[in-house]
Amino acid sequence: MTLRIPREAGVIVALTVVVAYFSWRAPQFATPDNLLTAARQYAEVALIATGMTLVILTGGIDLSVGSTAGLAGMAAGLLALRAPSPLLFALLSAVGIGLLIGGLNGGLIGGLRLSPVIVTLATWAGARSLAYVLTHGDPVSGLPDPVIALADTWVAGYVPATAILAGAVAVAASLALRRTAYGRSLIAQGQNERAALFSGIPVGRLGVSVYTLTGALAGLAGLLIAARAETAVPDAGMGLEFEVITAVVLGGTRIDGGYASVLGTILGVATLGLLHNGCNLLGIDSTWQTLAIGFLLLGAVILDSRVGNS
Amino acid sequence: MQSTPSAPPQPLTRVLVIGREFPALVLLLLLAVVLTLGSPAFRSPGNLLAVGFDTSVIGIMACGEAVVLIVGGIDLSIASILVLSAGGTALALVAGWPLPLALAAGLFLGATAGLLNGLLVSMLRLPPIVVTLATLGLYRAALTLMTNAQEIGPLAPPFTSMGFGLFPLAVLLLVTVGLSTFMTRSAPGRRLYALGGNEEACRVSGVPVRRLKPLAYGISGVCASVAGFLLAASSGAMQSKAALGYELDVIAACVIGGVSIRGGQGSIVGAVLGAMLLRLLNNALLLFNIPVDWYRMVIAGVLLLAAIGDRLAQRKAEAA
Repeated sequence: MTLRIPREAGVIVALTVVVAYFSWRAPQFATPDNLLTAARQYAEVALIATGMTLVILTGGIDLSVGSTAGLAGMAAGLLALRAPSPLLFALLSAVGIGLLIGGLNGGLIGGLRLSPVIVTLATWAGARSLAYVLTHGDPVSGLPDPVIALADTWVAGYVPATAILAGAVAVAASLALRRTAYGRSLIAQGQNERAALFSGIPVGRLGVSVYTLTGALAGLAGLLIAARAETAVPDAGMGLEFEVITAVVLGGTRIDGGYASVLGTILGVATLGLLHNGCNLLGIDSTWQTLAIGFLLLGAVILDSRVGNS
Repeated sequence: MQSTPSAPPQPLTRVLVIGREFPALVLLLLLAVVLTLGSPAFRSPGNLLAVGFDTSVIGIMACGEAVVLIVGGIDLSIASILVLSAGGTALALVAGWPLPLALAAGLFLGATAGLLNGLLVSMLRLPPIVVTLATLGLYRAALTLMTNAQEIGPLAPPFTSMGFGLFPLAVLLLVTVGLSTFMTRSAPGRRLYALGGNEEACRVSGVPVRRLKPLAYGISGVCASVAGFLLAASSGAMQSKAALGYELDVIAACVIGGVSIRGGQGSIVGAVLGAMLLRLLNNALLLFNIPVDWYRMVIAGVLLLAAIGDRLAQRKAEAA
């Protein structure tokens, strides 16, 4: 049975329920202060989720994003403490590591046509392992002020700059999908890879590009996570892939590719972020939050399989 | 859709000589020789038993995972099923249930958790990677809530004696031979291979695909609970944070042992060989004083090499 409703309907319902419930139960929930704090906390997830949307659009998946963020945060933290220009080196190393891991994923998946699950499971393990190897598992604390300022800059006094950055990346990705040949090719590849290949779309290179982009965004997010915590820890971003994939599928992007909604993804991240935020305000244990997100992911993917393209 | 025909059951000797398990077997023998000659500590009975125990836990899980991979699926939740089912058994033992009943409860939990994965995948046609990513979180969270994140124990003999000596290896042998025979000699087992080789062809030729697929996930769940019994027995307790990340070791063991991620190819024996190889590598790091933080890096590297090798061999076969 196929229903003709917009694929973003599910996430709009979920977000409405979350907002309504917590506004009712927690008085401090629906205040600008709290919402902006939540936006700052989930800007990193939003950055990665935007990249993951493109990966899933092409019919792939990237399990390595959380580990990439963890490794990038550690490497950037270590370098920032030693380099003459901490901010520049932190940014270069975080994004560079993301590009390297993403490029490796993309090269093996897009170029050599290996299974995305196996490749990104390997980089998931490898990157996390390296993050621990760098300091034998110790945190990197005392990050220089310019690095901390990355996550502690407020536009017009109260809007977190990282949230604006995440929003800008999402808008750019959304426009690229709808308005550019590149975006159209990604959609074509996701809908029918063979047909796309035969109509001259460079399927392999597109694959390389989405994983590389997602890696770079994960690297940047890792630096922002470390900056927000003012400390880089080797287990930062652990389990992030679970949240990011949930946000993307909840947002209406087809899990087997061919349809993507960046707006839906951002609403998905907002749903998860506000769910965590509200639960924390009410003192609900994190295990219940994991349980809720697990059910959200299952619900989203069941909905995904029942609702057609529109 | 993969159109390669399913691997016909072959005698064990022929499989090992020319089959997909060959690279893992050669590497395994090589590493065993190097370790035996290069490290006296390796040869100590204590060390060999420790390696044997680790191999048993990962190997038994890999047997189950291999069945799921063979039908063209994947089970990321296998370590969470281990924790949930062994946790259930531990709770039952602490509550004073008789041992057989407690074990049955654990097996039941494992089978149910696996079947639930399988039903979601086959009845609702959901992608296995997403379903088992969700249940990976759910099953572990379920045990955390049941136990308030507390350790369940201490567990007492006779249960705990299952985790020592040669018993774990005997269980591994039993599971390997049993499941291997089932997969290659029984009608349902061969249908599982056929299903992974070409699902559409199976469907149109009347194989009950929707009933068979959950069976594979159920087997995986049961294997996870058996491995969980050994783990709980040897540590004398169970807790919801045990076996974190074991899904990597298990899936890597399968792929390294020649089980194809695309379904239809590979064997139970290969998965066990892969598990042995990985645990020997881990032991080698330990014996040569390389920090254990490197272990997952090594698995990642071996996993990628195995996948690349498989891909190149496939290309060569297609070109020929």
